[in-house]
Amino acid sequence: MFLISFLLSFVLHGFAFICRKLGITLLAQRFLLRVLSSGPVPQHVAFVMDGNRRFARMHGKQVPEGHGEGYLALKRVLEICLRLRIRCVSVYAFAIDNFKRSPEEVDALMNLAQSKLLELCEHGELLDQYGVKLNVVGRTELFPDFVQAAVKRAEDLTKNNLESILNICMPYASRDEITTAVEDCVQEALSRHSTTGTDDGTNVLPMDITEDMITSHLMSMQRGSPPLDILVRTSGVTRLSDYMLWQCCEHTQLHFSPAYWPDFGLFDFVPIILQWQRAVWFGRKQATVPSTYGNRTTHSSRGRSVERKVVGRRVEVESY
Amino acid sequence: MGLLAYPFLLVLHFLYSLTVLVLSVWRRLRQFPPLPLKASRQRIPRHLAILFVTDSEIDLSTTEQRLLESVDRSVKWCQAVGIEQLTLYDSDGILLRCSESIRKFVVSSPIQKKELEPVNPVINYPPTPPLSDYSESRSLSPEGFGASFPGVKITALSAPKKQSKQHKRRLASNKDDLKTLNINIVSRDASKPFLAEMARSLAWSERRKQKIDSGPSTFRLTVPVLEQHLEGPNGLSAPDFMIVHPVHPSKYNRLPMELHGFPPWQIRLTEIYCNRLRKKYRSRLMWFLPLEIRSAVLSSSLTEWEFREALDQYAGAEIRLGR
Repeated sequence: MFLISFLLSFVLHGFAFICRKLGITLLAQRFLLRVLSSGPVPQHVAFVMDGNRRFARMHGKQVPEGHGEGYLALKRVLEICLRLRIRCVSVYAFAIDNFKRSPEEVDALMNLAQSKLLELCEHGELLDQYGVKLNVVGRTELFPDFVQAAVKRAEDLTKNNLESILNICMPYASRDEITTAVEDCVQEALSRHSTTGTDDGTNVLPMDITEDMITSHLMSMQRGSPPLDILVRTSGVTRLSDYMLWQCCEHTQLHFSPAYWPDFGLFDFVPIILQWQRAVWFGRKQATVPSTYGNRTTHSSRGRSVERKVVGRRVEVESY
Repeated sequence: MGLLAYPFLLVLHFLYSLTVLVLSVWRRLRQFPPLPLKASRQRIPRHLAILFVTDSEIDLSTTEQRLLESVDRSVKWCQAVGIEQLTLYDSDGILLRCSESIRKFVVSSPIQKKELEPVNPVINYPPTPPLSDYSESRSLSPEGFGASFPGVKITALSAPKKQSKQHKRRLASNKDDLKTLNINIVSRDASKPFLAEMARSLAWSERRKQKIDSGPSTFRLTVPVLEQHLEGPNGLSAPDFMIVHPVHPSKYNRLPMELHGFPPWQIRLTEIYCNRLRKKYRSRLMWFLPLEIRSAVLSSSLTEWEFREALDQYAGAEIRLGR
């Protein structure tokens, strides 16, 4: 009897110790995020969520379980970004090329998409808690009907949220996005040209298609996303794999993290934010303000007084 | 809370700097030399792109000198390794302005055998668009014959690596015996502006088609069609591998890597390499030197170490194509 009491006491004390430890850890994490958010933070961060399958194989699990772990990582990282007051997060969930995977895996991903989309948007859940508008960016007509219905329902549930944006890119391919944008620009230019044609009846007006116009017609930009500041690719792969090529080829910091996506967490993300802050402080990056979402103001550079003037969607910070 | 947290943020940055310094030193001590240049590797890129990142702290003449040195070396290494196509990019167009100099040293590159005929590299400049007037009745678009590629293409020929005794006696007048390295020199103009110009060209083509067909039609564009325009003979093909080389590595390697406006369409599956350890803190130690001396000391051409390490990284990469 004495032995049983001793063992029980040992177990309970151990359990209490772990609970206390977790509580402190959670508080420390939240404090760390509060400290980070006092400096400049990016407006738009994109993640290529790579490595779910390799993670599953490494841990002796089935591939769908790896995708399930990937979803938990998404929630974790999304909450980190929202606590840091990053206004727009984009994630590459499913590529158009991924339909080439085995039917079992594709079916598992479709079922995961349907259940988790609605779970994310439910009342009291993460998106509701932080006022996040969900956009599903991509060729959703390629999805089965039940997934399309889930996408529509999820977007409707969050359409009135104004604080932040979550872009889930699926099924997505950047070249497809660029081609669609070019197609839309050409159609618009043709319709303008056919109505206006010439200026005074003699001179033919040029076709007015610029790179800024193409940018504004990209699917992700049309949903109110600001310019992309940081792109993170996990699992150690060092290529873009047809993700946001137009958006990230200029003025975007690239990070190739060795961690698999289900393992990606706060301590993988903190150095990325610290490097962003240094880039802003040392003049290589401009702090940005959202044009449509949120009421944040630009953080000043090193606490000195600054004058700001708005140029398009970016704010040029000039320090005295 | 933001103001109270700011000192903690500075402490955090200080701790991070220390950590990065220690890790950098550790990695430099632990790094293994890359395989030799001509070592057998699992795969070699067929099309290599080198993205040169310039910096305003390095003066223009030093930048040009470093770029030309890098181009000279990379051409020789590509020929040695057997890379078929080389794209050289810098966003400001410095390389384009130096294309004549590049042509000259590509011509003067040592060829293995004296019996070889002099090689005349072919330079393909973009076609001069015809004079345009803006008459409605004109059959040609005001933009010319479609979008013209804003870059320079040079074809360099070199002797093959190994030659048998029979080849030693024969004049290498047969081009099949010579290896071809196609060199593309591009700037930011070949990136988003070229895509916009291509879009304008497509709009004009569609306008003409609508006039001929005498009726409105909905313009449709598919990925393969746009790919043909952008990567075809008048465009730039997609590189398999890209080396990002900063002319000022000491400053560049303390901040994250970027792509500086490289043509976006072409980098869909391009592996990217950048050596982040070179000369990382050197500029911090030389802040007191005059700018001219600092430019000379801190600027860097592409090194063979970087090139070999890059090839090793490419050889070890795994391609899945969505599967």
